[in-house]
Amino acid sequence: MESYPLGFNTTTKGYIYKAKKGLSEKLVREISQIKNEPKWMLALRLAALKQYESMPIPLWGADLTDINWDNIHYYLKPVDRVYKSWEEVPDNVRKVFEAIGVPEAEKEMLAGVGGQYDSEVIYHSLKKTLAKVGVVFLSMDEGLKQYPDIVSKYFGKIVPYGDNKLAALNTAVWSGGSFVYIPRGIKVDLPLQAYFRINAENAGQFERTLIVAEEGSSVHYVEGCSAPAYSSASLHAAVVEVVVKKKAKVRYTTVQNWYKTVYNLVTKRALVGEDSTMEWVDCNLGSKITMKYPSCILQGERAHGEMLSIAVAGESQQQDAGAKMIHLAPNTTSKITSKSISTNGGRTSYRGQIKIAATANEARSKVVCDALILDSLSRSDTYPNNQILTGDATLEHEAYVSRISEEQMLYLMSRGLTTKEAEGIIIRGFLEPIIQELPMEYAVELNRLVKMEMIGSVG
Amino acid sequence: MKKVIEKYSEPGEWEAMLSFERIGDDKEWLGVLDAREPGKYKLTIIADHKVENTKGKITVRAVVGKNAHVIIKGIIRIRKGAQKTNNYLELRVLMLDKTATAIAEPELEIEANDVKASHGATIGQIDKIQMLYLTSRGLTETQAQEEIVNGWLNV
Repeated sequence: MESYPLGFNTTTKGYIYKAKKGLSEKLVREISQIKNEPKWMLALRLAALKQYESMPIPLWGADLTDINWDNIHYYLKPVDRVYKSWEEVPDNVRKVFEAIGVPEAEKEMLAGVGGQYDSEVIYHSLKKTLAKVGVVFLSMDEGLKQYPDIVSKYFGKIVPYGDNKLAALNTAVWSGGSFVYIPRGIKVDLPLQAYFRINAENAGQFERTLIVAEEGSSVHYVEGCSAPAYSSASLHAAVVEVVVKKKAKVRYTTVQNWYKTVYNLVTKRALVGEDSTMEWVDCNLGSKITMKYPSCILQGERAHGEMLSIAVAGESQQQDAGAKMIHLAPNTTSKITSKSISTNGGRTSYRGQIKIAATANEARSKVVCDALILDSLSRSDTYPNNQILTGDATLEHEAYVSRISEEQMLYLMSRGLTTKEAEGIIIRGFLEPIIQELPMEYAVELNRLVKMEMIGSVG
Repeated sequence: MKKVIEKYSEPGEWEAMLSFERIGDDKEWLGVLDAREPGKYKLTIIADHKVENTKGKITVRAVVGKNAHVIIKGIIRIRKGAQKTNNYLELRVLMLDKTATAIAEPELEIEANDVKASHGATIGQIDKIQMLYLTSRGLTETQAQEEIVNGWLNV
């Protein structure tokens, strides 16, 4: 596909470890051994593997029956360690990250950067001033080595391995991902960024991320993803756990641009404490199939959960995305804003849940879903589930599906714009409320991606 | 335009199907769900647009009282080729008591592009200012609530 500029790959010849295709208990033990993990982690992996094998493939949502689970490399270790400067990173890997622009962005405007290549994190850095005050930003593997107490306290507690089949799979074979710890009262002004790259063909990437924000702290974590243009399928099944303590604030931004053969099946969940805020900003543009519903469990009084999401589905793509807000405490609030565009036969689905438990007195929630369908081949669905289990809670939900308004097009074209220009302006305006929340270079990138996706879509 | 009003005021389970099969079909449907009696109420309404150039408007108004549990599912389905469809589905639920629960599932399944399909769902309580107005004019809380609910259900 010529409009996917990140579609290059490099050889996997020099990889330190390349697991044979397929999943087995032997492999799980091997991964744990290579990583030199504590016993409890191996035990957890093995229990999760059993759970995974006993669970059926989900039958709701997107169709996953085409995935050939035995044709995937579950563990691929490209280099021998995590590098701290880009000069040390082996040429073939560094060039990929340079082409994506990661080292450059780091110099300009980031507080810390992690880079993952297939199964392992190959680069990590954090500004010295932040390290000094106790901020931790490491690969999950390093985090487990250096901070075993914090990791064992939270790992698998927010997303237990029995949660769903893919979470079980991730827990069994997880590798890489980020470990972020923000001490009490520390506000990290610049974003921490992680970049995930799949390089090998038929790769499985199972990164695991844990973010703990202590009382009164704040952090913005940004992740980007891409993969080479292979014709056969790869699998990305991540688990992200976030703990937002009292009066803390965490924003988690994702710009997902996997190649169109990647299955992206991700579980993300945050535990939100008293007077604290969790914000998910989730942009799904790539992948063959995405199933992802980031959640907030609002368990402290006055906790606030927010989701801003963009989904764009082009030819042969299905974006089945949404959010879940679980209100458990009084006066909790949540808001979901979802924008989706389907074009060239793509399908977008908003699937979300608002649950206001009987204990969440006077909780409030608002959900707005807007969808544009650009041609007659494409499809858009909205599947919200709103469960209000206390009589004094308030819910507002609205959804709107349409094509680009003729009136708006006519107005712009009568001012001399071509069809394409007019459509571009309308689409940018449609996505603007979310794009403006993105860090600058991601906003530019997103505008570019959306434009690319729209080429030839105007009928 | 054909307008249908359905009333449901005892616990139970109902399904209503609104089929748009002829070009130019224009239908309005109002469901009034009076769940002031304790119990379980489940209402499903489906608008199925099979041909082009049809128009629908679906409204459900519900009041949910003490120990009453309501599930309302509303689906707008626009099939391939059913272009120039216009439908709006509105689910409005008034909760009268803390023990009332409501599950609202408004769904859209859209396979055509030249359409307007939207839905709104609200779940909330009686406006306190309206209550204050009526009680300050001598109505008891119960009477005031009754007046507001009746007005709102339009019965």
